[in-house]
Amino acid sequence: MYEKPSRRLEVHKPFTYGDDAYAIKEREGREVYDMIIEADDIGPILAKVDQKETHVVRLLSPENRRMKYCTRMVTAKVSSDPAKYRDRLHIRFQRGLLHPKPWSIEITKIQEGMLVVPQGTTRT
Amino acid sequence: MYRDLRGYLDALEKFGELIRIQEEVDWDLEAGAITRLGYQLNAKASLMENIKDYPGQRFIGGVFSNYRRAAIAIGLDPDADLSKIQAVYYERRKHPIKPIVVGDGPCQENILTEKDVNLFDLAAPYVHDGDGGRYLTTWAFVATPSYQTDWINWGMYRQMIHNERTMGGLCMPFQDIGVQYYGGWEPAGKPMPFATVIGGEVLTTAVAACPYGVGVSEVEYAGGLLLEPVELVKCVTSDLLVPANAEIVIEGYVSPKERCYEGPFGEFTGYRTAPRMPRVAYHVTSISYRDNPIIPIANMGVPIDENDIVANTLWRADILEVLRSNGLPVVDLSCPAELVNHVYVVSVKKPYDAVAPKIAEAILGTKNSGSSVNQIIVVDEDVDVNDLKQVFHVLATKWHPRRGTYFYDTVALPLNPSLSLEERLMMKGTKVCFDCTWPNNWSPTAELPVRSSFWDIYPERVMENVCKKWQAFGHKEDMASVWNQGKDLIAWGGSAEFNKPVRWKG
Repeated sequence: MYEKPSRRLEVHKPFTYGDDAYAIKEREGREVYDMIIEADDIGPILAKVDQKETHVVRLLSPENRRMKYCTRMVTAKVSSDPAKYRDRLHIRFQRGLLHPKPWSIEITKIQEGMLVVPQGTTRT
Repeated sequence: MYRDLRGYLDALEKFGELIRIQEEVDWDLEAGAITRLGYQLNAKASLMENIKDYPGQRFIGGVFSNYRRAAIAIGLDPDADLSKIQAVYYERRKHPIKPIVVGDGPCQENILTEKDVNLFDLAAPYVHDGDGGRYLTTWAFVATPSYQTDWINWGMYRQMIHNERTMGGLCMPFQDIGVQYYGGWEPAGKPMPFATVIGGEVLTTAVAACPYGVGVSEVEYAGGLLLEPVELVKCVTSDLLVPANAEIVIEGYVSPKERCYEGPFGEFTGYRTAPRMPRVAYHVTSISYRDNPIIPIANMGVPIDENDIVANTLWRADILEVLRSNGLPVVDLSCPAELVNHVYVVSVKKPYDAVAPKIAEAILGTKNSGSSVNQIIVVDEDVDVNDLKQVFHVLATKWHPRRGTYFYDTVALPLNPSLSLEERLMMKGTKVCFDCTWPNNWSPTAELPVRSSFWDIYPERVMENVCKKWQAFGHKEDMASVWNQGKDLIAWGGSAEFNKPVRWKG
């Protein structure tokens, strides 16, 4: 048998699977989002805390459950303090591992459109 | 063959390869977990008929994940030997059949366009914890046209739902779709039409997982495998043609220079490797579907799953043909399912010493296979390439680490777990060929060792005597029958195991 939890690499064990987002929403009375950052450490996102920035977030507790994991490009402020802003935010690293501590987020605008890149970049 | 995916699932059920799950299953991880555990236990395929939040839609997990299902798909006895299954896939590859166009089909029983389109109305599974999103196309294909020619490509490319009308997808420049998009549509500044086909008949879908090559239409290979033309129907919003019997068709376009975030995703290598990145954005203009559609889930991970079975049947047939058409003296070839399409084992009747690197260079140099393979193991003709015990035995004993190793720095699949992040982003890596053949110039008496297996080291009279008395000694194996079936073989090489000769099942 492969992949019993006990066989997870030690270096991966701190990155838990997280609670059910709807259970968190019921418990805390606020929305739950997550964000997959293009980095393997928390540094780049720490540099953006408390500033209005463009982020790409996923809806983890939408009223219509069918919409779970829908992605939105938003203008928002984030904080590593889980109580600072209105809603709860989880950070995932670029290969999906969940940062063990919750953050918070306040979304001020949902943006339209897609990313536009110069030709010849981001081919993979 | 089978009229559609549903006909194939009926056959799986008839042969004891499918169960129906009536209990409610959650699309959020649970369906993926059921499918994954099914692979790891080689359990029956799971037809999940009651999906949470999505009444009327269904999942099928494990649709093509063992050799019995590969045999059923092509109309063979489910218990057929792997060599027989491989031979049929190989022979039918040689006779492609052109498709026919029909006026309508069940795939358009329901049609949604414009503002009615919402991808979240489809029961897309969230397959693995940590995936970047919900993946609709884990066992499906994307049809796209060439910008310059009339070539239509079918390829199995992952697509992640980004929002209601957009999917992100991995699109590598050396893949057929990458050749079309980065080499045609994007430089021209034109949107590339696409049609995603979910739940087509199983072989019609499986061909799309094989990289047959630029300018080649997979639909004709599907016809060859099925021994009849695939019926196609025109899309709702474009001129692309799709299988009339598909469960779901998603149509739209890929805009030039536009990207959306996609990934990560647990992939066929058994790891979640390639990072989340901005990738091509598929804009959806229509969704058409059958009543009570069935969405296949291929939960990529550690072997054996659909990818591995496709590799050692369809993909293997393609590579074998490439090598033989290049005049290489290949006896047999295997992409062992246990080794996730990263290892090819090739047996040769060795005409000259440097044939191993010649084979490696042919494989690595082709569009068909060069990107995914990491290791090429070349063995003598007396090794059964599908028997990993024999393959590891010659790797342990006949491979000379210095004289028998050839490295190649070349393009690599960014999903390869052994690559550094930088190598993945640059799509560069190193491949290796292990030459496990005896040197041609070795003296048969002074240098060439004699193999010490039951079938090599004893006189025939002793083998016959032992085989015929075997059950009388108290053993269960019917070696008398094995002997009677196999004694006409001049060479005993190629045995499925060391203690039985080849093709002993007849």
